[in-house]
Amino acid sequence: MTTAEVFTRLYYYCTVQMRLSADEFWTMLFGLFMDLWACHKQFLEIEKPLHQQTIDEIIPNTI
Amino acid sequence: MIIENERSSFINIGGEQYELILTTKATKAIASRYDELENLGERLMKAENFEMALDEIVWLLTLMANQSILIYNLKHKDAPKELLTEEEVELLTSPLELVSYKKAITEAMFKGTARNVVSAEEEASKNTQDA
Repeated sequence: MTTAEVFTRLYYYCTVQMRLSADEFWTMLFGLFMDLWACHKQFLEIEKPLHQQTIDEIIPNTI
Repeated sequence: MIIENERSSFINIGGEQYELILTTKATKAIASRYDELENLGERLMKAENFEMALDEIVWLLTLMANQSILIYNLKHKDAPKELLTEEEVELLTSPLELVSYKKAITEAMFKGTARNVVSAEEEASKNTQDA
């Protein structure tokens, strides 16, 4: 994917899907934008939040 | 405008403090110049001569310092500030401070791309790419 295509897609996600303005998209911190896009996908249940499992979750206490 | 100060770095250019911000606009400009963001570090480190490294640093400093001015101008349309030019930055910076400029650029990029929200799918894809 070219740089132009990547940023056109991100612009679409931000303005159409997330309803933010063009100015907000271009002046937003890149990491913050990626965070908001991840929140959007998680809210719509397209993705699930990263959950780090602990050993206690894998091996029950009863064992 | 959504900006968090802990995700930027500050630098002194010609006696004035500027905030370096890695916005989406700056990320696009960097990605276009270096083909991919991963190539940036390599290009800076492997810059064959000092002059080339300095040119890249001046370009990055101008780009990221101008982001904070652009944000300011959007909020203060009645009294906008002038954007920095590469020529001005080159004149106002000293090659002796190259290390501190590199540090500020790295810090701004590191903080600007830092993530607080990650999806399980993203992490799995990242792990596949790393493997």
